[in-house]
Amino acid sequence: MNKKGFLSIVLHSHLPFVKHPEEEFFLEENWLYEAISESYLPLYIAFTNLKEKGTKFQITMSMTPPLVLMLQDNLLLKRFNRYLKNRIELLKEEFSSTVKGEIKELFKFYYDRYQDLYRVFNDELKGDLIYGFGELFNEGLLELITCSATHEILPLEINEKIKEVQVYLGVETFIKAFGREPRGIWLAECAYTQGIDRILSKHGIKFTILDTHGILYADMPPVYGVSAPIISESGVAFFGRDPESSKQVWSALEGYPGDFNYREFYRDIDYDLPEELIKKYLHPAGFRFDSGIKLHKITGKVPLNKKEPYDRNKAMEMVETHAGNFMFNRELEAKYLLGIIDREPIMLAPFDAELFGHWWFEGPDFLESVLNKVYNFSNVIETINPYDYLVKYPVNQISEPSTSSWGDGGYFKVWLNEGTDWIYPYLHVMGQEMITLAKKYKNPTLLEKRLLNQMSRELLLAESSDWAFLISVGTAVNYATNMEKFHINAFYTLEQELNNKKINLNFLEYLEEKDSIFPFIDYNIFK
Amino acid sequence: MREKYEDMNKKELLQIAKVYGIKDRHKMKKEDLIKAIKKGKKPLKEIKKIEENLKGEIKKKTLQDHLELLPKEPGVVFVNWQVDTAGLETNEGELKLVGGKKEILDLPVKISEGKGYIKVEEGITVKAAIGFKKRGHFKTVISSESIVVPRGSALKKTELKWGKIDFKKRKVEKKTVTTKPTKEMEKEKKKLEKEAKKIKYIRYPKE
Repeated sequence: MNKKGFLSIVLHSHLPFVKHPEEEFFLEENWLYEAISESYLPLYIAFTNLKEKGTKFQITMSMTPPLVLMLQDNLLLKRFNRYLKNRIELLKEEFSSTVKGEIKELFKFYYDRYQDLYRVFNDELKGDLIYGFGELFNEGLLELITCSATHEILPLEINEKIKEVQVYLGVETFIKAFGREPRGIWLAECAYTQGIDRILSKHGIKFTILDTHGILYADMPPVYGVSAPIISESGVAFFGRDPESSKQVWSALEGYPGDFNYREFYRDIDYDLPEELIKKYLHPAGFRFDSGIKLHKITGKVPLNKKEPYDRNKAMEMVETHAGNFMFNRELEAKYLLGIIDREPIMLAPFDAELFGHWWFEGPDFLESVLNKVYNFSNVIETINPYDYLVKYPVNQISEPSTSSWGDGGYFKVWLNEGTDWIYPYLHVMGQEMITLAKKYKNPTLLEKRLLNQMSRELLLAESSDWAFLISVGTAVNYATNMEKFHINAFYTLEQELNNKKINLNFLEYLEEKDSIFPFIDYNIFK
Repeated sequence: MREKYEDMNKKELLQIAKVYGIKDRHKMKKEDLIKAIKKGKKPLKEIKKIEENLKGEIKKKTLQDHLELLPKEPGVVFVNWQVDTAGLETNEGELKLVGGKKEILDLPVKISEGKGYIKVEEGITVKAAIGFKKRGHFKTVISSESIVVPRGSALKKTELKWGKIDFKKRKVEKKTVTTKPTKEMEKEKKKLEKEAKKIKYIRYPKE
C-alpha cells in the first residue's frame, strides 16, 4: 500500500571537546560521560533492539567531529569506565543497605541499568560506540551525517577559507571514523547564510537541515512549504524543520517530556548523599554534582523535596501512550498535507540527541516505540532519511534558503551579543594569521610543523560555538569563558614561540595531549 | 600529535635536544638522547602554572588591524574594528555602510577602535568601511567583507524554478514542472510560520 507521507527524525549529537589530563577528576568531563551513559548508549540499545526484532526503520543522526574524537580518546574512555564502575559500586552499597520499599527497588533498577550499560559498552562494543553506530549505518537503518569541525556558527565566520576548513575537517573526520563520505551535514545550530551551499557542494555534501523559516523565507517562496526540500543552484538540498512534529517533543507546555509520570531531572541523589559516599564514589574532594541517579518523578508543579518516587512501569505506560499519540498526529498531518500538495510530504523533526535520555530519561524508549509502531502498525506513514527522500523525489524547487538558525529568535543573537561579541575579532585575526602562516611555512622543521598543527587545533577549538552559547545561557559561564581565553592565549603563545624561534617543547607536548582534537591535522589545509 | 621519542629518528631527536640546550648532543647515541630529553622536561607543576596563565585575561588588542561586519538578527548587524593609527594623519574618521552602490550610513567615529550594533534594511547585502575625508573624498583605511542582512519575513516573489541535482557533477539540471502554489498551502505556510516561532531553543523545561 502506498503511504501518504514520510516521517524523518534527525538527532543532532554534539558536545564540545573537553579533556583535562592535568586533573584526575574534572567536572566538565562528566558532560561526555553523562551523554554516553544516558543518551548515546541507550539510543544505540534502542536501535539494536529494533534491528533484532526485524523492525525496519530509518533515523538520521549527526555526530560532530569533537564528539567522534572524544569517543575515540583512550583517556576519556578509561575515565568513562571509571564513571560507570563508581556508580555501580555506589548503587550496590545503597541497595544492599537498610533502605526499603520503592526506593530500594529504584536503586536496584539503576544498578541493573548501569550493569547493562557497562556490559554493552565493554563486552558488545569493546568500548567503541563509533563502531556500533557505524554498523547500523552500514545496515541502512541509521543515516549518519557529519557537522562542521568544531561546531562553528559559519555565518559568524568572516574568512571564507576558515569556513571551508570547518567543512573539510567535518567530512575528513567522518570518513576516518566511518569509512565513507557523509551524504549530509548538520550545520552547527542550523546556521546558514548565502554562499555556504557552495562550500558544502564542493565537499560532496548532498543535503542539510534548516529551521522552518530558513525555507519559508527563501528567495523564491517554497511551493511545498517545509513538506519537501528546496535545492540551491550549487546542488545542495535543504530540508526544513516541521514545527508540528517538533513541538510535541520540544515544547515546555505541550511537550511529552513534561508529563508528571516521567523522571524528574533536577532531583539527583547526589544532593541527598552523605559526604563520605560522595568522596568514596563520585568525587574525592566531595564536590556535589549530578550523578545521573534520580529516584523521583516530575510529580507536578511542586518543590523538589515534594517529588514522589519514580514509578518505572507507569512511566513506560506513558511512553506507549505518547508514542501512539505522536504517530497518530503524524498520520493526520500526512493525510492533510497530501490533500493540499501533489506529492507525499516529508515531515522532518530535528532534535538534540541529548534530549533523549539525558534530559528526557524515557526519550530513547519513546523513539524505540515510535519507530516500532510506525513500521508495524501504520498504513499511512513510514520513516525515511532525507537522502532517500531525494532519491524518491529528485525534482525539487530551486531556491536560495534564507539566513537563519534554530537558536532562540531564529538568528544569531544567542552567540553574538554584548556578552560574547569580544570573541569574534580574535577569531577573525587568528584565522587570518593562520592562513598567512600556512602560506609562509613551506618547509618547516619537525618541531615547527608540530607547533603549526597545534596552532590549528587551538584556533579550531576557539571557534567552537559552545563557549559563546554557554556564556549567553548562563551555564558554566566561568568555564566557557576560561576555555575561550585559553585557546586564544595558547594560539598566541605558540605563535610568539614560532616567531622568536624559541619553542617550549614541554608546553607544546602538553597542549598536544590536552587539546588533542584532529590528531591527523595538517596546517597546510589553511593554505 | 604527540609523538613518541622512541619512534623519532636521530635527526628529529637532535632538533628537540637543541631546544633543551642539551650539551654534547651530537656525540650521544639515540638512547642517551632520549634519556637526556626526558630529563630536560619541566615538571607538571610548571606546566599547570602556564595553563592557569592561559585562562587569564587576553590582550585587549589583537595583533592586526581588523574590521568585522556580522549578521545578528533581522535588520541588525554588528560592526567592530581596530586600526593602528600611527601612520595616519588623523584619528577622526567615518564609518560607512554601503548596500550595493548606495551609501546607507555615514557615522563619525574614532578610526583607532570601536564597535556597535546597527539597524539596517533587512535582506540587503552590505559592506562596511572605516576611513576619513581628504580633500572632500573618502579615503578608505580598512573595509569588511560583504554580508547579507537577515530577513525576518517571507518574500512575495512568484517566480518558480525547478531542478534535479546531479550529485556526480554537483550541478542542478533545470526541469519544467507544472506545480503551482495552492491557496491551501499558502494558508498552511502562514500557520507553519506562527507555529515555528513558538518553539523556543530549550533543552528541557527548567524549574
